[in-house]
Amino acid sequence: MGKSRNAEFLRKIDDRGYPVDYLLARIRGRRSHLIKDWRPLILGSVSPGHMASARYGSIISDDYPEAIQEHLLKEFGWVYSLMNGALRQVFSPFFLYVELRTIFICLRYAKGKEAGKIERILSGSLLSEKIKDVLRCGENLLSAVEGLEDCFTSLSNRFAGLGNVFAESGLPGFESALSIRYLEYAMHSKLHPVMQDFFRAVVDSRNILALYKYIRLCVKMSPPFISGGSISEATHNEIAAGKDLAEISSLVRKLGGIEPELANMETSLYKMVTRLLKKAGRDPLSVGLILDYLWRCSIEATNISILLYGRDIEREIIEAEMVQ
Amino acid sequence: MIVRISKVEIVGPRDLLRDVITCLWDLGVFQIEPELTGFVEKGDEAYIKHYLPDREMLSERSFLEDLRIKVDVFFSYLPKITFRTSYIDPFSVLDTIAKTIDGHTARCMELCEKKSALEKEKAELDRYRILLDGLVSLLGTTEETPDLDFIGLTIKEPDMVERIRQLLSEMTDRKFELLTEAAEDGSLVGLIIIEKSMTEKARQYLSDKQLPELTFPPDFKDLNFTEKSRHVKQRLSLISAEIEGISGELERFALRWAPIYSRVKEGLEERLSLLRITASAFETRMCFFIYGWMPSAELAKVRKNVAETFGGQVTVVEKEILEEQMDMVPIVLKNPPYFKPFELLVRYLPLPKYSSFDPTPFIGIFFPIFFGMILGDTGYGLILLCLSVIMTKRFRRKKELADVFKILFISSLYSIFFGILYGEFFGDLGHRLFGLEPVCIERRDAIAPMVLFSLSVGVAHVLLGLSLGFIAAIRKGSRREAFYKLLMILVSIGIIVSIASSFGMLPGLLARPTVIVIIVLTPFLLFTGGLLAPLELLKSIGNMISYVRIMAIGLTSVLLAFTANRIAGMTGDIITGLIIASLLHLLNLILGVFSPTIHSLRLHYVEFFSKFLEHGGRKFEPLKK
Amino acid sequence: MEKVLISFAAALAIGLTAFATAWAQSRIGSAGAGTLAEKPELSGAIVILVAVPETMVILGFVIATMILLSVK
Repeated sequence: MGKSRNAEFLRKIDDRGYPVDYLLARIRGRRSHLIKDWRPLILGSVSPGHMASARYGSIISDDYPEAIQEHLLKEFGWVYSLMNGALRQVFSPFFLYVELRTIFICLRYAKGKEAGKIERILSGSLLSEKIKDVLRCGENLLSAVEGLEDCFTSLSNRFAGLGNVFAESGLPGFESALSIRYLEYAMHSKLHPVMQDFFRAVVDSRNILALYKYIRLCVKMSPPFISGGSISEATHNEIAAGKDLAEISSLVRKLGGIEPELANMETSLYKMVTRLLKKAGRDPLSVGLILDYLWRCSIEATNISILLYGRDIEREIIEAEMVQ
Repeated sequence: MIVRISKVEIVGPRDLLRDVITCLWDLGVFQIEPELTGFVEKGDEAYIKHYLPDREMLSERSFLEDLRIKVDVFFSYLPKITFRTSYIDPFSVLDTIAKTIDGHTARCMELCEKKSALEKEKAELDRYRILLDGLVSLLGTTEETPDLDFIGLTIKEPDMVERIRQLLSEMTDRKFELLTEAAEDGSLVGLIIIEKSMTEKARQYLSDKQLPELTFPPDFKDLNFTEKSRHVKQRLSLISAEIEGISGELERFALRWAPIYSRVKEGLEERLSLLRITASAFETRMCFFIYGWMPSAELAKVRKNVAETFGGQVTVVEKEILEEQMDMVPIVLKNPPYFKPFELLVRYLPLPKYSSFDPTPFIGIFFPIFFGMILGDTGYGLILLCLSVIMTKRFRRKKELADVFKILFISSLYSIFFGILYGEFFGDLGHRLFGLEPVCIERRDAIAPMVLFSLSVGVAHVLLGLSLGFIAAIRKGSRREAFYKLLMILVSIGIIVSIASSFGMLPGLLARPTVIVIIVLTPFLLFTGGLLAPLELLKSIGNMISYVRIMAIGLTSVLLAFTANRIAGMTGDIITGLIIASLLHLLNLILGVFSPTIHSLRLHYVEFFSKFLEHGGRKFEPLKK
Repeated sequence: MEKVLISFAAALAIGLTAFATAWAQSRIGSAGAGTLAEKPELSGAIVILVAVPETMVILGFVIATMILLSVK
């Protein structure tokens, strides 16, 4: 039930009848073009013309910060267009999760009175025309938020009251509420097993990160908890009350099987998800492989953004920040 | 065939290095080896070092590199035209060129910049012209109307027009006019005419949509439309003339200087690659060493040439190729004219290793035979023969196509030959018309004998492949692999004999001894080939059976030809019958060219080459101009 | 009746292998087309790979003829 509704939020593209094997072969081919060795890029100063990967060479000269996101969406759109109906069903929760970022970017543009840029980012987006029209409504942020609430409430009642969140805590609050509720909604709907593992890892990472920030940065507000992951609410509250970083480390070790770096928790958590998907990608069945590729693309995009906007920062810090 | 290659060492006094390399370069048969391993005896490595350029050489190199970059920059400003070739010695003018090039480049750059500025202005003016033309034609008058306003705009995407139209009509209650016309650069120039009161709103809307408004430059302000229009046109013709003048000047400049500079560039590149090559040489305190490879047949020529040029000062020594160096030896394939066209069929495969074989002669021998065995029809063969003769003549210039038809020529000869053996001429037409009888076998009915025939071809071909693998292993000096291949051959033969005798094709007495032989040999097979050896054996047997396709595909071709004749016969009318028969035969002929080609190639690529061919050879890249 | 069964067996021998070959070739073919779109330099290898499963139907054909010939 829930699955079929997700697809309505994404652009309608005709199923052009590409065989799954064709898509997988192309993904395997493209996967080999992803950047594997980041060190030369980290050490060499990354000037726009000096980018090793031809895939990014052309877009980086642009002084448009969302060019990388746009490029990523284009790649996702390409994969989406080659999928058959069944695969699109399976992947719609993932694509919609990715497109949440597009929604946020649009809202930020609307807030910053840069309506002109909205159209550009939407042109490559996979969102359905209905949502795009809501986002296009120029600079009227409130009507956009209400429109989004209407759309998402049709998906599940979980999303009711998003407008109030916006009224109370502004755009940042709205963004985090939407993504948290979306994750909870995804975890409670019926998902493909690989997809479920992925979302569980994402939920866990976000829970851990929230706890980490709460303890490490001594945030006053208690950390938000996303249900549906492998951490129970009780454990979550216990750790939040205990305020012990070692507890978090042991949690990451238990869930992800990796040793977290306490100084750089976010990267460690990214690595955890990457590891999970790498394992899923080895499975010859299509879903794991595709999801692994999509995730690697997004990691590559993140790394390139870090490189580009951290040009003046010390190399060691950059290296620690990047997911490798 | 893989050409025999010699490993060569050239030694001489240090100061002759550059001349020796130039000499080798002119000969064009020597590939230099920058790796030292395997060329120098153990213990001597300490005395031999990479050739280090001295200071003079380094400064020359940086001078030449600088100059080459400058020449490239110079050429980037010149228009692309064809010019005469200059035969001036580039090094005699090098110093002069080094002095003049900056001035020349600056001059060209100035002209180019001026030209591009003018072109930009022209494009701009062109938009104004379109706008003004539209206005004049629309108003029919040259007076400016006080209650109307005009907005010019540039539209990059044509689909925007409809949206603008829609919005304006909502905004002004359809009291507006929108004209568009394509400008030279592909974008649209739009002209909106609306009531003065709506102007502000419309402007706001356009800036929201990021549609740049086209406003006249300030010096146009006091002119009316006619004056503006005249002004624009005047300026346009002036600019066009000016652009033409600059282009002419640039062209004259290019005609005069480009030949010399391009000759200098050639010289520079030559000298620079020479300098680069010296880095692959080695030196001791007094001597230089160059190591490398060349076809053995060329060795005498090179020796003679070096002796004549340098007297006894430089020696060329052939050395023994070590076993561990086998993979380093570069590969040159050279085939007699008969096999040459078949190189086309192995081009997609990677190069073979030096210890392996050139696949071309094998495919040259067997491909046409298999093709003939499958198609096997005199009539079709004759048609293909004529076609290939005509086409080879027609495409004499295009080497690849000519090669295709040369292969077809040989294949069609074999088709005719097998056609006679099978007694086929357009299927059974020969038999019906002039009582043609098969010499050996009637393919249509004799299914079992044909299967056996194809199988024996397969057995022979695969066993040949295995034997070649055995020879290659010996050549490579790998005894274990050679033994393994030999065992494979023996066990395969054993299996075939035991199967044949159990079917009664060979005396039944043979069955028991061969089975015993197989049982005895199998442990050795496992020992030499590992656990996968039985699988490999099974694959070989499968490969042999795969040759049954020769018969199977041939059979479909015969039956189609037969059906064509039958259907034609059933019409009862000569002309209709003839037309139907020719159409069906044409279809069969087209199929009969494609499927034998594909299947006979496949038999080579998959079944035959996998038995002996080792890929991964290094390409021969001699020093050459 | 026996003849019918034997013919049916022969038909199965070639029919099933033909299906298997067709299925394998369709998968290899579509994967090959995908690979070719990304790495055109592999064309030689792909042609060979597409051709490999053909052996199945040839083997089926041999079995079928053997079945039929054994009756005569």
